[in-house]
Amino acid sequence: MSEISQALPTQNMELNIGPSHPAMHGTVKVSVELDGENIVKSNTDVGYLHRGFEKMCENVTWAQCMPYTDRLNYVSPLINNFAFCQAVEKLLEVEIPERAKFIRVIAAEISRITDHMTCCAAMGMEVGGFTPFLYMIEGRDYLYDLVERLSGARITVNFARIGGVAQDLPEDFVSDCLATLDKVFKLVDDGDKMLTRNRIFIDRMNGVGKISAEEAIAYGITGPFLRSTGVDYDVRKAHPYDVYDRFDFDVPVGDNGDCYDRWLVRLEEMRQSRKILEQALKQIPPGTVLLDNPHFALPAKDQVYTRIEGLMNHFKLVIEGARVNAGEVYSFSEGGNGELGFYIVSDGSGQPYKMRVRSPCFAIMQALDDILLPGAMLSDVVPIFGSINMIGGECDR
Amino acid sequence: MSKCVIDGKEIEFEAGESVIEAAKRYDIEIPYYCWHSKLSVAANCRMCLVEVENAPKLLPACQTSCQDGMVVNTGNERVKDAQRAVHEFLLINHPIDCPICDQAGECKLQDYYMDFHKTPSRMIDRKVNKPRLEELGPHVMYNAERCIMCTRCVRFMEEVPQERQLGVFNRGDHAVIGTVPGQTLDNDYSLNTVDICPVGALTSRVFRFKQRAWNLDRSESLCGGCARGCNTYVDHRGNQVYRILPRSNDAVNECWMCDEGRLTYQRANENRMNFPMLKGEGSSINVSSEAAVNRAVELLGPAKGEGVLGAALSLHTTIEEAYAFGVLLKDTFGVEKIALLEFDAWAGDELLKVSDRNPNRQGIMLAFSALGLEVESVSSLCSRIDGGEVKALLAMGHEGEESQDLVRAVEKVEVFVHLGYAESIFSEHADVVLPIQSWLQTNGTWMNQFNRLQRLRPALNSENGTRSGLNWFTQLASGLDTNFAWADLQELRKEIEEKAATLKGISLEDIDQQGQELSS
Repeated sequence: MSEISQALPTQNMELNIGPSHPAMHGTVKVSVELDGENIVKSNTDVGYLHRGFEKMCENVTWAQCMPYTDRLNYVSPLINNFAFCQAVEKLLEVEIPERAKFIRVIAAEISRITDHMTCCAAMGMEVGGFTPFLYMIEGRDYLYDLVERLSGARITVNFARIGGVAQDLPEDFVSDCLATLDKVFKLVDDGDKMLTRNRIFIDRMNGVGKISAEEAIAYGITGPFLRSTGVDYDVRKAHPYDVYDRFDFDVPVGDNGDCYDRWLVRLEEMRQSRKILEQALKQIPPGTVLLDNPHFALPAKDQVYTRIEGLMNHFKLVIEGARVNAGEVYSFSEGGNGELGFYIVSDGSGQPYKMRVRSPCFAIMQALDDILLPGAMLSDVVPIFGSINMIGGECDR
Repeated sequence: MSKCVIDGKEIEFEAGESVIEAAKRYDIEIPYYCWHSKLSVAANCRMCLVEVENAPKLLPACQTSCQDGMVVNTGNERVKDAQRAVHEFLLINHPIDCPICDQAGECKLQDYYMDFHKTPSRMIDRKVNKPRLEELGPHVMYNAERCIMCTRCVRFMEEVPQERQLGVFNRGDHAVIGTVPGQTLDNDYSLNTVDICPVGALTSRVFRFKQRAWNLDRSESLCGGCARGCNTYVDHRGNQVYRILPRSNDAVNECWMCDEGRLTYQRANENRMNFPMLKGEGSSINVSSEAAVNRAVELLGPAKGEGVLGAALSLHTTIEEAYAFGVLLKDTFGVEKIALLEFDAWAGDELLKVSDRNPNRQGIMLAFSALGLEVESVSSLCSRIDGGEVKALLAMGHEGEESQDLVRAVEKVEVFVHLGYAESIFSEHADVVLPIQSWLQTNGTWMNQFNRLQRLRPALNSENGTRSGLNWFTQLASGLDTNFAWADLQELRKEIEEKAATLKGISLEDIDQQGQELSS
């Protein structure tokens, strides 16, 4: 055989994507071994955003943990707030006021829409469609305006309180919220029209990053990612908390478990969230939004400034923290990416003894190296990774 | 033994024991303000009311002695109601002071509000105004509005130092604590009233507004103020000590401490030397520890074995470091006599203060006698320096630096190496200064005047440049080519245990929080 006709000697190439790369959301590194353009093996490194959330919580009072939870999934911080409070309330064995439950549902569903919008917007952009990204992010900003009116901040909300929420809905919030939803869903529909039937988008998404229902369950995957495989597990339906059992909404599921199904599931979930919001805003009862219990809830400010009893109560709760019943608890709710769980051990003091967060996207990241990436092409890394909606703050804690 | 029942628990008691004491032994919490285990019973705060079966009314647990077959209930609704009501009364005239009150964070009113009260205020009238800034004495400030009139301070002054300087004046909600006409609260034990005050009425004038209680870290230590060696808590933050409080030890100081002892923390904070220094032109210069040790070795080397080295040692030094110091001097320089740097005696009293102001005289004597070293007076050392017999001086500590003899001696001596923790006349004249730890940072043992061996644990971190005395001695010895090798304090301690008969079989770990008395 002549030298010319011999196959060229080749070897696999190692390529690092990230940790700091414009297409990698947050700080995460994926090193892939490439045979041509095909991925042979991948090795994902998470933990670049590890701040020791769980350990930090052991050294502050229960109330001081709240701002830390804002920084878990920072695209939907309100949900983390409520999930944490729910765990502490379970330890304290208290039931929060009806109105507070409704406010939590409303705030959580607004956050779910912002969370899914971020992911959907990015999914278009991962494959080169920049316009839908701008549309969706504009919608997200309108929702952040709502969150800002509600809590005073767009991201670092610190809105929940043990025993309820920090404050009541602002004036005209109900009508504002409904008007904003109209505006936002016009943008969602635009995004939908631009991408869902788009030939390029479908080609890049369909059949990419496929996972079976059995595999997803084996890896502990929950949320839209799991539902895209056809499993209809949603904490809001399976284990209803707050007042979710009073609303009429569906849990959308896909059947292929690929990127395209995840897009469709998230898109439909936003619409279901809107359905919940409209019902909740109509049904919300009047009443207090925080339990009046000196054991853990701060007294009203007029009591603190003019009465020694109120001042002492405030002082003890702020300096030493509310004493939460000794024991352990696992409490979970439906976060933007799936089941967000808090496992907490209390020794009866003003600070958590041990805290552990079951973050939904950490479970999905495990499947990346084993199932999602091997066999895919290099250009699929970013769409697959984007469809996980990995949030560094939540995954790395 | 007789038995009674408290909250369903069968409890054994000794004749005459009160319900509150018996309950305390069994970890049953009964709240109280006026009761104190070392003081007489006043039963005026009414916080400890409990239900006794067959008694028509609730009884104060501090004043009710246990009887055989008595059944007591400390937590049923009736008692809880009473506690809530009593506490509400106590707070009626209490000012809105927590943010500016020194007691906040360690205040019984706050604790009991959360534990036994927890209802909002119902007070609609104006609060009674009273004097808020009364100087009772040189160390104690009184705020009458915060006072709950438990009279612990009055009873303390009457019963412990037995000097009636405090009394209750006026009646009802006008009642205040005050000094007896013509007197001020200037007793040596006045700051104990601040400790036992359950609220923020009495505050320490040196500690006022310096730190918030919850920001302070607490370590256990010993007082270096006199040869009693009171057990203390050291409250510190950022390696600065802010106050010293008595730690309970019935064999030494019960739960009291004198005012002077509490103020010794200032010595540990002020004018600290954190870097080794060499004498330079005009002023001293900071150097690395290697440079300082090298210079010290260079200066002291010629005195090796010549008997021209004088030595002086502070009586604050631990037994272990005194022993190591003795070994270094004896084996390397042939020194036979060591002078003691000490504070002059003061007038002791019958309560706690003993006349010897040096905390470890007994212990150092023990270490020296184990080594066969003699003690010489400072004046004898000075005259030997004057006479030219002693040409070099190695001194550890600076106690008694104000003695004129010593000042003259350190000016005159040709070579002077000094180990100390604070700037002094010594560090000014020394050719080499090696910074050591203060007694609050040292690890070792002290022995008080009554032959009680007590453990001194580091209450604070050591600053970067400072070393333990033992560390410096080891470095000097290796520079001077002498055999001086203990891997650590434990090993050194083992050798001392072999040499000193009275310490036989008492390792550092054996000395518990209460200390250990030696048979002289």
